[in-house]
Amino acid sequence: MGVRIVTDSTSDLPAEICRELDITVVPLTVMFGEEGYRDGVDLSADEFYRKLIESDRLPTTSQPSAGVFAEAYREVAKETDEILSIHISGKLSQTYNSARLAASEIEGGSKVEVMDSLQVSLGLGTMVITAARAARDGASMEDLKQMVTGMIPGTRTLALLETLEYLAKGGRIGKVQAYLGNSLRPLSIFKVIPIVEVRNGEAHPFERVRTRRKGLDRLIAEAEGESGIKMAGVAYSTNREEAESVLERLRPLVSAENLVMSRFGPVLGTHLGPGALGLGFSTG
Amino acid sequence: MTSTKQTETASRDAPRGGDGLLIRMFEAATRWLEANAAYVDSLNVFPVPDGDTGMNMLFTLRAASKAAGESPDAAPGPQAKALAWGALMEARGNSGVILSQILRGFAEGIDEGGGLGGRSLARSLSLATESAYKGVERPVEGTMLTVIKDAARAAEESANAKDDLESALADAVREAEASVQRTPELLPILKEAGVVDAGGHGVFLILEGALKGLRNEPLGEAPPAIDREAIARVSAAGFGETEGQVYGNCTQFIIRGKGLDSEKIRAAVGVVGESTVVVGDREVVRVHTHSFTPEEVVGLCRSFGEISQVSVQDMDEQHGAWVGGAPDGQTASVGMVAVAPGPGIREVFASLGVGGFVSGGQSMNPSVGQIVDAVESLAAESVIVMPNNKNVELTARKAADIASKRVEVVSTANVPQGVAGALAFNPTADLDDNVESMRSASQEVHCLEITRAVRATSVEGLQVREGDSLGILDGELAASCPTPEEVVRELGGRVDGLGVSLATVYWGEGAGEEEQDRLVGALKEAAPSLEVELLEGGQPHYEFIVSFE
Repeated sequence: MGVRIVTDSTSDLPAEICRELDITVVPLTVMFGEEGYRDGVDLSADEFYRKLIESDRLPTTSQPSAGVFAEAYREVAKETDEILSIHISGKLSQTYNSARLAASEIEGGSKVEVMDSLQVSLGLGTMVITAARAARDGASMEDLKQMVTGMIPGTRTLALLETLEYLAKGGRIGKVQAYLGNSLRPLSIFKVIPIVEVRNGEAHPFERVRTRRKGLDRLIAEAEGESGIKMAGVAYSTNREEAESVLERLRPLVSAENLVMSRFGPVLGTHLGPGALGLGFSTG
Repeated sequence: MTSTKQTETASRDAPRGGDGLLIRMFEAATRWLEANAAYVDSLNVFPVPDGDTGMNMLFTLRAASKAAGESPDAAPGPQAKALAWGALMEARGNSGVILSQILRGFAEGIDEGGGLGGRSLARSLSLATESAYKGVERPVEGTMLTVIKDAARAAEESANAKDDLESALADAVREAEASVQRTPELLPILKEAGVVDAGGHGVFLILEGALKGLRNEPLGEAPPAIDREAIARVSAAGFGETEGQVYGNCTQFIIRGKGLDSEKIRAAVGVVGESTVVVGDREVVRVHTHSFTPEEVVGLCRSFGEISQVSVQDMDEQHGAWVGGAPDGQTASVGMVAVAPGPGIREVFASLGVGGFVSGGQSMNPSVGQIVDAVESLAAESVIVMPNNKNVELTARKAADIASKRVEVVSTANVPQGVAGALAFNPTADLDDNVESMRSASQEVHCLEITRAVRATSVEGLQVREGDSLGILDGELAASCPTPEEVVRELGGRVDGLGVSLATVYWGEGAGEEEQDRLVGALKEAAPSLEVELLEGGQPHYEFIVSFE
């Protein structure tokens, strides 16, 4: 009975990887008006993005309740007595708080440790995969916690956005607000593509470019500028071909088993909008 | 020690007391340059409507004369100081900035005392030469630098033979004229175009005007414009700069005192610091250096005067703060100033977060003072200036030296480079990181400027007819055709070869709707996959500025 890994749906991990590595994913909820959908459970990605594009009102997202986490932990505890639960940055979501609350309520012999990754999407995802592989190979809880803590500084998530509108309306804009502050008089004809980065738990402005091609080049250049990427992932909201092309360009940098392709789930999709492309990687 | 005759003339005609000789000479020099400014403007290699050398030097000299005339103290020393300050604040364009450096060195020489004689003139011209060479990172011979150097040498030889102001100045003028004639031998681009250096000629005119003033001669007529077919104008001849590697702590402070010597301070600080900049006057100077031992730098400078406003920033720490995410409120606030040649271009910059603007650019170079004002108008602690024109770069650098804030210049040579730089600006990053990313982003775009030839000429084998549309691709005169769209067609292969995906067309004054449509059509023809955006730039002289990325 080794340590089992739990995460949340903002890690944007493909289902087959989670199955293979016994990773339990607790879904966040997306609300279109009165209707709530569990991220990746009740709503397929295609359905979600169609709704996102068609709907006049933007969806809202909310963290899983402590009860949902407690239920998940109890389920996993049937098979192990040690659970490491790794989550989206506490500065971006209350998910981590719910998980901690649930962990403190778990009774009996099971031990649940909850960690804030200070990351999101495939940045979080690469940490979760690395931890799950080590757990499968028999790493102890202490080793795993140290490993994840050690990965935090070397893990980055960058996203190329079609527009800042979704990030602004979703209330998670963080320091990227500075880009909007500059656009009090936005020039609709002068198109700008923002690149944002999640660092230290928050969204930061990274760079603005005029064309997607240049933006993709910038993402690749950032990856190329890092020494020794251990694992990387590409996520997209609506443009799969583009994501595949980025994945191809990452191949010389990362071995195939450490390269993940995924899709932004409804929670990330709500905040990043259609046309977003993300790159997450860890060097630690 | 002036001759009796000169002293009499001086006291008879001086505007203020017996000390007004210097003013009289400068006023005559200014009027003489004024009479010849259009001629100097026309000395330019490229036949584009931006020949500003004469006007830039004139604005600078005019401000210098005015400041000296308004100085309450009519003695040569204080007047020379006032003159140097006036020139520094109003300096425009590369030639104006270099002239302001010349005047600054000259003023130091006069301020050393000893009256206005042959020896002091020689000494002042020699200091002027030193100061001018120091003002540019990579001095180019065959320019105004060479002319002032040769003139200074002639004055020195003359003063060594006989300490007489008039003979020393007359010899300097003669040698300056000869030096101007030699500029094509030193600068191949001049020789090819069959012209002399415009800035060098300006220096000669100033010395000649001063001699006329000294002799109380009538200024006379300016020579008629030379045969326009035979001339071409001087481009800003390679006054680029190389940015050195910078290490240690960025250390800045102010020294207040009496008789401060910037050069001495620079030399002293240079022992323990790198990339040292010391600017100011005898009462107050600003020191900016990079050192591993900032306390030592500050301690060392206490002997010069009272130290204040010390700011020490650990560059590694700054970098660390960025990588680790600087806590709120600790991020240095960085602002941007752009030189914008038209209202539409200004709008684009504003939408990207540029807060300070200076009008001008091509053919209307802003002054050091205007850029300083824009810098000071921002609330930001440090400011990045984008000159967006090669001929504004040096002015921007001077403004950076004298502004009270920490200012960095990202040397954008045209509007597209400026826009690319502003796009890369990251409001949460610090000054150094922003400068680095803006610099590299600005180098990634290509720029095609289309203007009208103001006269016929031949440049590097390219036949130009008056009224032709000239295509300047990345600073190089690349095509001369009857219309803008033909320029694009002519350069189509090169545009396509740039491997770019977006063209942003800023149309300027004089570009009508049909002309815009035809230009866009020609661009799409040249590179079918190119996405083309059309924006009103509102710039004068340049019908189109196209950014390729």
